[in-house]
Amino acid sequence: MKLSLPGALAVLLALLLLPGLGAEPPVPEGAADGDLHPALDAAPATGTIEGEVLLPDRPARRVAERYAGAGRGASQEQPPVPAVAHIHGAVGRGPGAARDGAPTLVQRDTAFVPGLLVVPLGAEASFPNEDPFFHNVFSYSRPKRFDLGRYPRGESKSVTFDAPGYLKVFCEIHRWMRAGILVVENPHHAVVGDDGRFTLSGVPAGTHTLVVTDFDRGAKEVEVRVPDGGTVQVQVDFGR
Amino acid sequence: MDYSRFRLTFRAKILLALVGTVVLVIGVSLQAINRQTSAQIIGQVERAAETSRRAFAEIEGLRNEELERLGQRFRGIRLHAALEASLADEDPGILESVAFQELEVAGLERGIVAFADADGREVVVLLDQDPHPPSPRAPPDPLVLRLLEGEERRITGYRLYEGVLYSVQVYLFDLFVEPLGAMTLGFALDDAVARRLGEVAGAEVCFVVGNRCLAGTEKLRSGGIASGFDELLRAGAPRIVTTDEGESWALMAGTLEGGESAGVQQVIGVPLDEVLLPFQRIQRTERWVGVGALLLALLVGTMLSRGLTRPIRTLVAATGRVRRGEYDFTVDVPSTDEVGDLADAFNGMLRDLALKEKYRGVLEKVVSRDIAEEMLKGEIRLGGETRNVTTLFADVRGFTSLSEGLASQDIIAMLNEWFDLAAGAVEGEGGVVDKYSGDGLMAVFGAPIALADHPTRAVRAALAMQKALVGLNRIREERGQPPLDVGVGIATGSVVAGNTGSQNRLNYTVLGESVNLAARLCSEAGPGEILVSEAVRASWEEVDAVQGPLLRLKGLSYEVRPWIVRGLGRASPSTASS
Repeated sequence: MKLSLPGALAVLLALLLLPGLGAEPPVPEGAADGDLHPALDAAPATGTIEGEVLLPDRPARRVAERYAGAGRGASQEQPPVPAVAHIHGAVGRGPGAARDGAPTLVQRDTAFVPGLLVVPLGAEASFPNEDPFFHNVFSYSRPKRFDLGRYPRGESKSVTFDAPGYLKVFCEIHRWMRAGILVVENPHHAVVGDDGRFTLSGVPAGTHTLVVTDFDRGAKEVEVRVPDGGTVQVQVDFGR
Repeated sequence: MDYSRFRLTFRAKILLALVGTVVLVIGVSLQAINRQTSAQIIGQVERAAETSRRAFAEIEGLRNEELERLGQRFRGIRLHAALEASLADEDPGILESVAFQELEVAGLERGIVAFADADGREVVVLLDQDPHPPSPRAPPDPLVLRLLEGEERRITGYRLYEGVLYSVQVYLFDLFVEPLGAMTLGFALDDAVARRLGEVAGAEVCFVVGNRCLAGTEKLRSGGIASGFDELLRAGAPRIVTTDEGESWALMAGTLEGGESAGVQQVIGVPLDEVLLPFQRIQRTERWVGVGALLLALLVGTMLSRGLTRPIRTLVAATGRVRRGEYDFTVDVPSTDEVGDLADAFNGMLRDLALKEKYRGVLEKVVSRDIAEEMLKGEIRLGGETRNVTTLFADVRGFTSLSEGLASQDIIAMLNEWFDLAAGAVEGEGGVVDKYSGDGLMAVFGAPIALADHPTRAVRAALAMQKALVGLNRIREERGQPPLDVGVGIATGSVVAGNTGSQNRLNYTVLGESVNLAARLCSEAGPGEILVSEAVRASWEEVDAVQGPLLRLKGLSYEVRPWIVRGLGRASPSTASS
C-alpha cells in the first residue's frame, strides 16, 4: 500500500508526539525514571529497602584442597566474599560516582582487598599489587574478560568496565585469592553486612528488581515495591 | 558258569599279565605327564599373566604419574574459572579456548581433555587438541559420575570415546565449596602402547572391549588367535589356541583396575610352543619306550612261560605213563627253580612207586593179591575177626613116592606146576591161597574179602581143580611123567581170621574147628575125591554128592559123615560111588 507523503508525515508526527506510550523512550542522562517533564523540578519520590540475606551454611561436600592447611603462605583462610545487593537496570540518573574514590582492587597479603568491589558502569578500576611477589589477576566472567598478566609490587593495571554484571576475579598464581566485582548501572547498591543486612535508601518509588549476588551461591532476584517515602522489608533466602 | 570251556593257557596268562602291566604303567605315566603338562601350561600362562600385569601396572603407574603431573597444572584456577564461566554463560567457547591454551603451553598434543558439569554432562571435549563438541544427549561417562557422586577427588580408570580407548584420570573441579564439574585427562591406548607393553611382558597383549581388540599387539589384533574374546572373559581360565601355522598359544583374560566402567579388559597371549616342547618330547619318548616295553614284555613273557610250560607238559606226560603203570623212568627237567624241585619230587615219587610195585609184586608172590592189597593199604592189624568162611585143603596123593628119584629142581617144578593150577582154580572163584604146605595148599573163601556164596565157590574151585588136573595129567603123560592125584577137603564154619605173627612178619590165616575139619577131610580124601562137610553140603540144594562113610577124625570129638562131591547140579543117576 503506497503511503502518500502527507500520511507519512502524519505518522512521523504522531510518533514524535507520543512519547511514553508503549516502549520506554531512551532516557537522557540525568533524568529520573517516570519523569516525562524534565523541566519540572519536583522532588523525586523515594523509599528505602531494608533487606536481610539468609546465607545458609552449606558445608563443603569434600575437603577443599586449598583449605587443607597446606601452609602456602599468608592468609590461606579467606573470609568469604561478601554478598552484594543492587537494583537491576538503569534507574535514576546513571550509575553515579564511585563511593569511595576510584574503584581499586588491591592485592595485599595474598588477598584481594576489598573482597567485593562495586564499579560504576563505564568507570575504570585499578589493580595495584602491594605484595612482594607477582600476582596475575584475571576474570573470565562475561561482563569483562580480562587478564592483567604478572606484575610486581608497586605496579598497577587498570580495566574499564563497560558492561554491567557480576565478575569473579581470580589470581592465577594464588589459587585461593578471589574477589567479586559488581558493575552497576545505578547508585542503588549495598554490600551485605556480616549480619546479613543491607539498606538501600533513596530508591525511586516503584517496582524494581532487587538482585542479591553471592560469589559462591549465585544471584537471587526479587521484585520489590518501594513505597514513596516508606521502607520496604525484603528477605532473600539462598537456602531455598 | 562253566569255566572248563574257557581255558587260558599259562603262557597266555603270563603274557596277559606282563602286557597288561606294561600298558597300565605306560598309561598311568602318560596320564601323569599330561596332567603335569597341563599344570605347567597353566603355571606358565599365569606367570606370564602376572608378569604382564605387573609390567602393565608399572607402565600404567608411570603414565598415571605423568597424568598426575599434567593434572596438577591443568587444575590451575584458570581452568576452574573458565569452566565456571562457560557453565554460567552456557557458552563453551571460553572454556575451549582456555583449555586449548593450556594444552599448548603444556605441550600436550595427544590425548583427551574433557570437561563436564556437576551433573556429569560434558561441555567441552578436546581430542588431540581438536575440539569435539559433545552431543547434549550423550550420557555422562560412568567414571565422571562415580567421581561426582562419590567421596574422592580423583579417580583413575579407562574411557572409551568414539571407539578409542583412553587411560584417564578424572579430577573434581570445585570452586571453593560446591563441585563445579569434572575434568577428564588421558592418553589414548593404541597399538604402540600395547606393543611396548607386550615387549616388557614378553607376551601378546590386547585391550578388549566387548569382543573387540581395541589396542593390541599384532597377533592378537588380527592374527590367528584373535577370536572368541568374550568367551575367554566369561571362562576365567586360560584357553589354548592353535593358529593355522601350528603355533600354540594360551590366552588369558584379566580385569584392569578401573576398567569396569568402560568394560575394558586385558587379554594376554602366551606362546606355548616353548613350554610344550619338552613335554611333547617326553611324551614321544614315552610312547617309544612303551612300544619297546611291550615288545620286551612279550618276549620275556614267552620265554618265562616256556620255561614253565615245557617242564609241566613233561610232567603231565610222565603222569600219563605212571597211570599206565610205568614207573621205571625219570623225568628230565634241567631247571634249578621250583619247577626243578617239582621234577625232583616227581622222580622221587616214581622211585617210591617203582619200589612199592616191586614190593607188591614180591608180596603178591608170597601172599595172594587181595591180602597183599590189604596189607599195602597199610591197615595191618594183629588182631583178627570172627567170620564164616569156607576152608579148602588140597594135596597130592602119594607125593613122596612120586618124587622118588627126581632131582630137586624137578620136584620143585612138579610142585609149582600143581600149585599154579590149584591157585588158579582157587583165585578163579575169588578165594585166597592161605599157604602152601609141602605138596598141599590151604585156601580160604570169604576172607579177607567177604563172599556170600563162599561154600559154593570153594566146591566149584575144587571141581575146577580136579578138571584142570585132568588136563595137566594128559600133558604129564605126554612128557612121560606119572599123573598127579589130588584129594580135596572142604569145610565151612566160623573161624578166627586175621594176621598172625609179629609186626615185621605177618601171615594172614584162619583158625577154627572147620579148618581142622577141612584138613582132616583132605587127608581122608582119595585121589580125585572132594570131601565136603555137612555144613558145606547144606549150603546149597542142588549138588551131585553122595554121602560118605562115617569117620572118626583125629582132633575132633565127634564123628563126621562127609559128602563126596562129584559135580554141581542135580545128582545124575549114572554117577556111582567109588
